[in-house]
Amino acid sequence: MSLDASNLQILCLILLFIHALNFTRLSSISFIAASALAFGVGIFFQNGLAPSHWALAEMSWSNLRQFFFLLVSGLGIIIGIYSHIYMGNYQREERSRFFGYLGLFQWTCLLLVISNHIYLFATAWELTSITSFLLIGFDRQSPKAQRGAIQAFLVTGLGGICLLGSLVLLSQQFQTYFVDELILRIATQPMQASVLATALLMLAALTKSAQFPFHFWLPDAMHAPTPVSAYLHSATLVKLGIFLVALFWPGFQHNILWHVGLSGLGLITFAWGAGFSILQTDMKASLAHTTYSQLGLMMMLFSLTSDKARAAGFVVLLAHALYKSSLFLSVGVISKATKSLDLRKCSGILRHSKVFLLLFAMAILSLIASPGSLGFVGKEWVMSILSGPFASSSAKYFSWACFVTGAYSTVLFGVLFFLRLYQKHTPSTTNETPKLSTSLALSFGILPLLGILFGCFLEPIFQWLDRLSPTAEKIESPFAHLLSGNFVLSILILLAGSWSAYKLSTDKKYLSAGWESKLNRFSLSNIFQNFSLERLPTHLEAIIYWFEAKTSKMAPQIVFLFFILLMMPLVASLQLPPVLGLPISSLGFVASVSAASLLALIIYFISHSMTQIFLLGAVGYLVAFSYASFGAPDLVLTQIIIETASLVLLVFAWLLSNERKKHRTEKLSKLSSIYSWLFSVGASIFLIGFLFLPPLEGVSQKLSSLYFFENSEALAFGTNIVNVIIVDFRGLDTLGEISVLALAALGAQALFRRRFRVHHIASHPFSSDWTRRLAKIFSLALLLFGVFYLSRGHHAPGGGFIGGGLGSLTLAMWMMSYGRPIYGSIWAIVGLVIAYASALLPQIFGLQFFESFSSPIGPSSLFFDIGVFAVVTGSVASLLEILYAIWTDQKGRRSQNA
Amino acid sequence: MPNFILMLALFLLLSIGLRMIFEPAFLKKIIGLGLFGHAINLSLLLSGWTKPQYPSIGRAAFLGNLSFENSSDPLPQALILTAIVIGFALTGFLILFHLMSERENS
Repeated sequence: MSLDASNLQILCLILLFIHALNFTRLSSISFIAASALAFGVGIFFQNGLAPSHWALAEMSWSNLRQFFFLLVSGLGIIIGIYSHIYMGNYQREERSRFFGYLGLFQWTCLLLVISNHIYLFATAWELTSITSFLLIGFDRQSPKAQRGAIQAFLVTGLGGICLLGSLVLLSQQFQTYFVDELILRIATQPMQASVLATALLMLAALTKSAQFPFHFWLPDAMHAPTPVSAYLHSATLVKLGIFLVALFWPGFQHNILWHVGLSGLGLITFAWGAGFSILQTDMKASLAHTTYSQLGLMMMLFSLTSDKARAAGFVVLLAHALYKSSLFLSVGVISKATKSLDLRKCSGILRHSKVFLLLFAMAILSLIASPGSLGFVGKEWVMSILSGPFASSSAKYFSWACFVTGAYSTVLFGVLFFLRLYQKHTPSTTNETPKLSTSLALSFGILPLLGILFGCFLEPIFQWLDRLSPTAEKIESPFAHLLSGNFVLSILILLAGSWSAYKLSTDKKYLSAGWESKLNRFSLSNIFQNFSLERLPTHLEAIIYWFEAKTSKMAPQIVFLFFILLMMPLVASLQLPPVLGLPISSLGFVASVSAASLLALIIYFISHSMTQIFLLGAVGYLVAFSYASFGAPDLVLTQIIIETASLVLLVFAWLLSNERKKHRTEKLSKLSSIYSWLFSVGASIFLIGFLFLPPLEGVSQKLSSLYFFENSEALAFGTNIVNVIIVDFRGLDTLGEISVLALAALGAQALFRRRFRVHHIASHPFSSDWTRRLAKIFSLALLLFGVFYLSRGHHAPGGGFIGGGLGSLTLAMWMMSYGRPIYGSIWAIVGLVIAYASALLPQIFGLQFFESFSSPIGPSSLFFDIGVFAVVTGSVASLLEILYAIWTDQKGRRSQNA
Repeated sequence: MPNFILMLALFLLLSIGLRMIFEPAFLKKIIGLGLFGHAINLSLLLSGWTKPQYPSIGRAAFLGNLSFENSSDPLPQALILTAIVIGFALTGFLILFHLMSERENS
C-alpha cells in the first residue's frame, strides 16, 4: 500500500484538527499526539514502499519528502515532551498559545514538505514564515523579540515572494503546475530554466536557510522561547531552504549559476558563521551562528553535481539536526537553572549534574566532528569531495580555505563552549547551587545518544542513504582510508582547535571583552532593521510629501497631460464600429439607467446628506430594475438585498460621523473643482470608449460563454448558468473571493472589537416591545427566504450570495432589536471551513480537487454554496455589527455622562 | 437613439460618481464610489453579447425556446454578482476606518 495524494490530504486535515486542540486545555498532549501520528505515518509508509520504488536509478523524490516529514514530526515529539516540562510554570493561556502556534508551525511545515502543486507549495512556504513570526515574537513584552520577529518575517517573507515568482515563471516555461513534474521536465529538457527564475529560486533558499548575506535574521530570532529555537531554528524552518535545494537538485544540478552561486555562498557562510560564533557571549546567539554556518556547508553539498556530495549532505543534515537541537535544549536547561543566557554567568554549571554533563559532551563531540560521532562521518565525506576535481584552481583554493577556516572555528567554538560552561571562572556570588532539571535533560537524551550511536554503527546510515541517494557503490565507509591525508588533516584541525580553545578559555582578556557591542557596528541586522523599520517608512513618507507638494503646484499640467493620454485611445477608435451589444429593443433598460443617471445629477446638486443617501438607495433599486430588463434575475435579487444592507451601513455612517455636526461643509476650491471635473469627464469618456472599441482579433468572449452555456447541465448538474459559473466552473475564484471577504470581516472585527462592544441599551429606539415582536416575525421570514433562495440557486435565480445577503439582514435585525452581539465572525469562519471542506470533498471519492459530482442530496457544489452563504451572512453582518457597536458605545457613554 | 441615450446616461453616472469622489466630505466620497460602482457594473453587463430576451436559465420546461442566441450572457452576470457583494464589503471597510481615524484624531 502506498500513500497517494488524497490520503495525504486527509492526513493533513486530521493533523490540523488535532493541532487545533492545542489551543484548548489539552495543549501539549494534542501536540505530541499529532507529531506521533505524523511520525508513525511517515515510518509506516516508508517501510511499506517496495524496494524497487526507491532503488531506482533515477531520483526517488518521494523519499526525500518522507525524510523531511519524519525529521519534522519526529523532532516534534521530543520538543513536545520537552516543552511540556519546560513550560510547566507558565500560565494556562500562555501554554495554550505556545502549543497552538507550535502546532500550526509544524502543520505548515509538514504541508510544505508534501505539497506538490506550485501554489500550495508557495503558500505553505509563506505560511511557515508567518507561523515562525508568531513564535519568534511569542514574548509580547519584549521589543527585541518583536523586532527580531518582524525582521525574520520580512527576510523570509520576501524569499517566499521570490519563490512564488520563480515557480510561476518555471511553470509557464515548462508548462506544468506540479513541482515534481516540473523538476523532471527541467531535468530532461535540453533548455535551461531562465536565469531570472533560477536566481529567484536561489534567493528563496538562501533567505530561508539564513545564508550569507541574509544570515543576520537568525541570531536575532533567538528571543523566542528555547524549545522554539531548538525546533525551528536548528532543525526544521531553516532546513526548508536546504529542502528546496535538494528537491530541485535534479533540475538544476548542471546549472552553472545555481551550482557556483549556492556552493560559493554556502562556503562563505560556513566560515563566516563559525568565526563569529566564537565572539558571542549569548549562548543562544552563538549557537545560532554555528547553525547557519553548518547550513552553509549543507547548502554547498546539496548544490554540487555529484551524488556523493548529496549523500554527504544528508549525513551532515541528520547529524546537525540531532546535535544542534540537543545543544539548544541543553541551553534551555541551563537558562532555566541560572535564569541567564549569558555565557559568562554560567561558568561551572556543568559540574552540577553528571547526566546532563554526559549528554552535553556527546552533543559537543558531534558538533566538533570528533571520531566516533556522526558529525565525523559527514566531515570526512566533505573532505573527500573537496579532494575531487575542481573547475579551476582558484575555486579549489577558495573552497579549501573556507572549509578549513570553518572547520577549525567550529572545533574552537565547540570546545570553548564546553570549557567555559565546565570551568569555574568567577566565584559564584550567590551561595545557592543552581538546580539542573534532570527530567528536562532526559526528555531529549535520545538525540545526542543517536548522534554517537549512528557515528559508531554506520550500517543503518548506509541503508538509509541508499534510499535517499541511490548510488550505493560510491558510498564507502570513512574509516576505509584511515591515515590518509584527509584523516590526518581532520585530526590536525581537531587538535589545533582544541588547543586554541584551551588557550582562549584561560585568557582573561578574551573572556572579559564585550565583543558583541564591538561587533554591533558592523552588524548587517542593524543596517537592515534601520532601513526596513525606520528609514524606508520615513523615506516613503517623504516621497509622498514631496509628490504632494510638487503636484499641488503642477496640478494643471498634470491634469491636462492625463486628459490627453486618456483621449488618445478614443481618438484611435474614431471609426466607431456598430455599437457593441447594446440591447436596442430593451427600452426598460435604457429608461431605468437614464433615470438613475438623472438621480445621480440630483444627488450631486443637493447638499443634505440624508437625502443623498436615500437617493443613492433609489439609484441602486433602479439599477436592479435595469438588470431585470436585461434578463439577469440573479443580479436583481443581489442588488436589492445588498442595496438595503448598504443603506443601513450608510445611515449608521452618517449618524456616527463627526461631519454631521459641522455647520459648514468643506468645499473644493474653484480651480480644483474644475480640474476634478476635467479628470472625471475624461476618465468617463475613456471608460465609455472601451465599450465601443472593436473586439480584439481572435478574442471571442462568446466562446467561453458558449462553453458555460452548453456544459452547465452536463458537467455541473445545474441549469442556472450564472450560479453554476460562480460555484462550479469558476468555483476556485469564488473560493478565493469569499476567503478575502471573510478575512476582511475578521480583520475588521479584530481591529475594532476590543474598543467597542455592543452595549445593551434599555431605551434605544429599535428596542421597544412591538418592534421586537415585529423583528422576530420578519427576521424569521427573511431567514427562511434566504435558505429558500440558497437551496434553489442551482436551478433558479438564487444561490449562496443572495441567500447570504438575506441571512445577514436577518442577523442585523436581531442585533438591532435585541441589542445583543450576533458573532458574525463565527459564521464567516464556519462558512470558510465548509467551503474548503467541500472543495476537498471530491477527493474522498477519488475525484479531482473541486471536481463536481451529483449526490442524492444535490450537486456537490450545493455544499460549497452553503459555505458561501455562511461567509456572506457572517461578513456582511459583522461589518454592520461593528458599526452598531460603535453607535451603542457612543450612546452608552452619553447616557453615563448625563 | 436609445443607444445614444444609454451612452449619455452611463457617462453621467460615471463622471458624477468620479467627481463626487473628489469631494472633501467623506460621506460624499462614499456616495460617489457607490454611483461609480453601479456604472461600472452596468458597463460590465453591456460588454456581454446579443439582445437578450430570456434570462440564462436553461431549463427547457421553463422556457421552451431558449437558445444561445436569445438568452442573456451569463458570464458578466456572474462577475457583477460577486462585484456587488465585494463592493459592499469595501464600502463597509472604508466607513469603519474613517470612523476610526475620526475617533483617533479627536
